[in-house]
Amino acid sequence: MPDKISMDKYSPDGYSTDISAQKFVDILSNKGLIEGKGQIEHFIVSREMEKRIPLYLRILFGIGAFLSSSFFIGFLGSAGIIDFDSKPGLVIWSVIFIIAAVVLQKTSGDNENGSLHNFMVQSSFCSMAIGKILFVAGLTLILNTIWGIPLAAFIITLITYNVYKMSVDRFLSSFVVLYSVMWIIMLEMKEPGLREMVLNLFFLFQLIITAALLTYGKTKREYIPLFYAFIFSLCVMVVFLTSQSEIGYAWREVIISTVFINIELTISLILVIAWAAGSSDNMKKEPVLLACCASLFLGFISAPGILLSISLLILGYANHEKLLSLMGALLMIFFMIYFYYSLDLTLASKAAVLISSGMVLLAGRFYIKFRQMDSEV
Amino acid sequence: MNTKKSENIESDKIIMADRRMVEELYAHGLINGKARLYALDLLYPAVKWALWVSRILLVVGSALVLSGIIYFYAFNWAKITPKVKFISIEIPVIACLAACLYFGLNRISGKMSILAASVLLGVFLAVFGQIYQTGADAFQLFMVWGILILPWVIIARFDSLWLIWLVIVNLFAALYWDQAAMPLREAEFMIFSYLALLNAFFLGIREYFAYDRPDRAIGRWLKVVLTISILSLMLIPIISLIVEPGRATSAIKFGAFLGFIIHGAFLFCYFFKIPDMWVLSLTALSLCVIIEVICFKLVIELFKFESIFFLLLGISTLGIFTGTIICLRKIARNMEARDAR
Repeated sequence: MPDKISMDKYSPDGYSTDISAQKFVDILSNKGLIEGKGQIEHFIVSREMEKRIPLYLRILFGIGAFLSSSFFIGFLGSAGIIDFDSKPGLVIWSVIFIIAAVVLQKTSGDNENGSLHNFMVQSSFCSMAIGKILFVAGLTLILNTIWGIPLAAFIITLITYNVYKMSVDRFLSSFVVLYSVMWIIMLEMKEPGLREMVLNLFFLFQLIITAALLTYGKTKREYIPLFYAFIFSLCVMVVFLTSQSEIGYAWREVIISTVFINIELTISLILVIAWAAGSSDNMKKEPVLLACCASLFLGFISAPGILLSISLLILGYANHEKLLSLMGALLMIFFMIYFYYSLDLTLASKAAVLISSGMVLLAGRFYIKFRQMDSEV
Repeated sequence: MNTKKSENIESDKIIMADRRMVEELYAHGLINGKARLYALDLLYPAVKWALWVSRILLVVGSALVLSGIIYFYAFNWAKITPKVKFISIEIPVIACLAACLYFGLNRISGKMSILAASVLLGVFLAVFGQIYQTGADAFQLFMVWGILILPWVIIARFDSLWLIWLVIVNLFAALYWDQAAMPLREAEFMIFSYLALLNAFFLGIREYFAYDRPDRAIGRWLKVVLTISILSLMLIPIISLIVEPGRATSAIKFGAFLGFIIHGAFLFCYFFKIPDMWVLSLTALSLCVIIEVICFKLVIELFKFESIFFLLLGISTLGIFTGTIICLRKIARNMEARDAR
């Protein structure tokens, strides 16, 4: 076990340790666990080279670009500069705007605090948003099918992802692809059995990609927005499915059973615990086995929102990513609200689901206390 | 010491080690399996994991059970007799209080117990109203609930309980305004000012303790929640005044005036006194919305051509948000420089 003295400080939550990368490398080196310290240091520095814009600025960039691009599209349409009935015209204009966005970003320079740099970055993002919207509209008209929306969004995201280096754009574009697929499955597939199967498969597909992005160590940092887009899409889908019901108000057709999604999320929760455990040896340890058993039990009695929310909380803690934990906590709250109003279960049944799920978690807590697993601190 | 050491790896910022870093090093063959496991143990010691899991199980488990209880009593099962209903709530309330006394308020178990007791007390009041058909307005339930749990909220010093109490108080005020005060049209919008002032008062108290006695301050996340609620409440009269100044009542005018003062106060306090980029960003976003609405109003009144309307709005939006981002970046840089000194 690591020496306690090697810990820099406790993080604000008091239960994880924050250690600087330099100290981390020093400790491993002193223990004789690594060779080529310089190479590792170089690797760590190079992975940090990408400039990270604070979250609050990214939100402002996103809102600003969304609003301004909407107005500019309105202008281009109303001034007759772009003919929205001309299919190839829309695509050509979209290419022009996308190229302009890339050029603006490339020429914006490195001076983050400069007025010109920020104006060019914001204009570039706005131009990219216009280009992407026009591309999706144009290609959808050309293909003459509603499936053109996700297809066009996918194509343009694929083309621009590595060229246009802006995390907000990467996140939003990827999310739009996933979200549009979900909506079109719901709207276009009239045959209930097929719709349910496709929706379940789509959910499974998202889970697999999320897991791959999470666990594959060679995943580049530029794919983190993609990982978050998948996570966010899963959250949206879980809340969305909770709002549907047999006698529901949103769709008066057929219920979409969440049984398969519950199974998928239960397996995911167990895999998340296994991943957090770190190794197959750790998997055999009593607390991890117990957590897996509890997850299995929870899968039988609980609801998708609760399972996904717990998975996100674990991922957030294990990855030192507060945004994931926040998403987990918010999902839990939104899920509770939607769950209350969804009508395919009586309030008594919902109460039973919630109370039994809560009791399983509290039983886990009492077991940990009983076995004094957390008593060293 | 750490900062100085970290400067070897990067000159202007400390890079923190995390799991992603470990996995990347392992995937690129820069550390072996043994080093990876040691690193994970270093970052996430087993006992810390157990503590975290224990804590999260308690919090999430309690939240689910309490929600389940609320759902159950909202169902209002007719087959259960009133006596059973009362006993089935009173016993858990007493049990929670006993648990709180046993664990003490310095432990998370004690804090969660008192939170559960506070929520269950509200359920008890609701069931009481259901059974006796008291005819009381909903605001009275929230008023009594808020008053009864206030001592617990004060002594518990627990962020989540404070949030619940603030929600109860806000609901009470809003419902009282609607059900009891029943204001005339002229005063209708005063509720937004009252609620904003109420929340600003609690934010002020929070900041006072955070400034003078940080050990007694409630969480930073609650500050952000309060800021969002205050700014959202103030946006309503401000936007109403901008959109329809001719129909603005004195309550709207007062609300808008108060709103601008609050925006100014936030900018001043959170830049000079208690630097906080999140609160400043939220205030800036709120100001962006206000300026957007002003531009919208001006453009729609001055220009009749649709295309010019869209063009001017597009340009102004670009300018407003770019300007805000530049300002925030400068503020962040100034704050960093101030901290460094």
